Amino acid sequence: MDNISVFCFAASYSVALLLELSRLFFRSGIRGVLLISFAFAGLLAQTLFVVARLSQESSGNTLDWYLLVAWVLAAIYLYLLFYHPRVPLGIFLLPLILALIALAEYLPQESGYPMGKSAWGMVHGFSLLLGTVVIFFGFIGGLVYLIQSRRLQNKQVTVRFRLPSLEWTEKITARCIVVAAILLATGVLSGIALNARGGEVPWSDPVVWSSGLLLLWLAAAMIFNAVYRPSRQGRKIAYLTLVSALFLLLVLAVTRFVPSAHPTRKISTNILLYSEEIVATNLQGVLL
Amino acid sequence: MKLQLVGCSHQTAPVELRQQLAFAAEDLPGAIERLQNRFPNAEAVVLSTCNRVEVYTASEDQSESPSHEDVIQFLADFHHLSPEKIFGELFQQSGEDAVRHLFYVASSLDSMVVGESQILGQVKQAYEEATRLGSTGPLTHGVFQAALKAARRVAADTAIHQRRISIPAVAVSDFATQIFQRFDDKNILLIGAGEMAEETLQYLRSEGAKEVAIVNRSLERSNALAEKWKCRPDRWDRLNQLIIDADLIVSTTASGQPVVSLDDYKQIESQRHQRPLAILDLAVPRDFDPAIGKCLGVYLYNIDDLQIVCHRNRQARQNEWPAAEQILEEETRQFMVDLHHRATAPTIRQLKESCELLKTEELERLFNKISARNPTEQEEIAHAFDRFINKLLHPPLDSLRKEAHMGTPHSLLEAFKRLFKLKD
Repeated sequence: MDNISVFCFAASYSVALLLELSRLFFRSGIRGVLLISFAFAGLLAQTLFVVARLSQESSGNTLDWYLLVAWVLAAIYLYLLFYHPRVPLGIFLLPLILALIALAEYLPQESGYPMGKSAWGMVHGFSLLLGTVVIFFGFIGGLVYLIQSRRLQNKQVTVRFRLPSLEWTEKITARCIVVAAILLATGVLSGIALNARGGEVPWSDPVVWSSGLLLLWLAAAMIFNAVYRPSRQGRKIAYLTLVSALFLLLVLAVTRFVPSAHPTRKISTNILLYSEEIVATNLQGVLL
Repeated sequence: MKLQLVGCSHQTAPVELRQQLAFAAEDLPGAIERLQNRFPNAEAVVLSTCNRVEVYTASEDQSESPSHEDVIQFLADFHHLSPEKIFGELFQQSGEDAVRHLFYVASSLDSMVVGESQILGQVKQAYEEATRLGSTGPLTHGVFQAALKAARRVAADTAIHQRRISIPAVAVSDFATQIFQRFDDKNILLIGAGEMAEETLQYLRSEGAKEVAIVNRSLERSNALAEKWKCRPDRWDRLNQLIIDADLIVSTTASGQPVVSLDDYKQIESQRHQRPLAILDLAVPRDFDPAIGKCLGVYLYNIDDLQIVCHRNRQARQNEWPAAEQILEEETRQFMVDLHHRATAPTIRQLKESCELLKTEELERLFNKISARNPTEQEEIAHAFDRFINKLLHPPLDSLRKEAHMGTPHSLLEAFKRLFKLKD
């Protein structure tokens, strides 16, 4: 496992992306098998890499957070390849996966953090991780909706490159907003519970308030959907997921660049709201 | 062994003659029975569609197979026509050409609309009907099953069937399915009750559409169509309300003026709450003002948009032709090789049987003379004889097999029969 590097799975995903792009130009009987092979090889290599990282003593840094999000998205991609082989969602998913891997690789690495091993920590970490994945997936859904809508209005219909129907993407994006809101609420509330046990909740912490802002946005989007009927359908739902992704990027940027009690560096506090190290720790327990 | 085809198609005969020679479904059993009575030892399959009438006959013994003229006489007698009148209009093919033709027909490469999927079902039906009536045999079984297999391979390995080329099919399959995932929960509105409306309705039904309202200026026609397709007829004065409720509209009226103008639509737009609306305007002149297509959530396609796609799809099917042709050539070649091998099988079997007989006689004589009573020793000797015969026969049989790749090796088979004194 020591021989597996980021290059191994990034290369596999890159080849899969090239194969996905080839859908635009020609038909091929063997492409489906090749796609599954490369996606599976990439996911396997990434799984082994993540497991190896988690087993290391200094694991739990930010690098693993992006890698874990990319890993879940890659698993979703492999599922889609199996069950919806004709849907070219990989063209949209794979660049995102590769971008997350690149972020993991090129952002400055920090040293390890204090590890949390409580049940609240596990809930906090997993729900934030999955919430991030769902928001990213909703973003892809919204993007696909807008592209498909534009293609259909411009009467660009091709058999070779057939995107999912508007109805399907609309359903997916609408569900993503609801699921992301629930996951994020769970993550934030479990973080509050986790800190309440330690004595004090750091409300002024940039990561806390930016996460709260994202949660507020998702809650507003849900209420908007519930009371304003046109927002539930058509392009508006797609725009809502795009804005949600922008909020998520804001939170990630704050996490990365703004000094916070949520550590990106080693601190001696017992504040454990920051999810990455908790996810890493808990995954370590689950996977090893 | 003889396989023959006599018939006519849209490429060789006018529609009037095809109509005269066509066999209605209820006439087919009688026709096959008459063929069997005339040629009791021949196999026969009759393929009759609106674009072709073809009679396939086959027989292991060439002398028992009907000739070209025999089949023409049969067709003329059955349809009460003069044989001289139809002789020049019918084509005849035999052997490999007949096999190739059937493969092309089943794969729809010989169809009026290349890539149409109906013909495969029609070929299958003709073969099954002939089998049910007992007029098929080993040759027709072989060639028809191979034709169905070749057609399926063309369908799977090329895109020749994938692209729709009729306006209603393109409207539903290429446009509506890109907007909607399913049709069973959609409100579908059909404006107009003509042929185009009915054909579109057929495609919508095949996609699972359930809730279909039909509105037409003549309530009588909409009632008739609604009754036929189990839909809901509605009044023309409720058109606006029906548009508000609709997810998909198919419009096919013959109205000289637009049925729905931009102003009409603007008045009801807010009541739709921006719900996506697909409009397939198949009417000439147009029923919907093209400006409606720019409204939020509206996807409007008119007949010109659909015709562009139809033309492109037709072109794309033509582009798949070489790949399909290559598959059919491979399948034809393979079938003919198998057929020729089959022709050599009786001679090979006879030769092996005769050698087996010789071996048994010689072994009996040998075991009577020598002292080897032990079963193991006897078995060893028998195996040695087997090996000897196999080695002796291998070169001539191999030559026979190789020769069979080029065609039925009549002269070689004759030589075998004379050299080894084999009798039929």
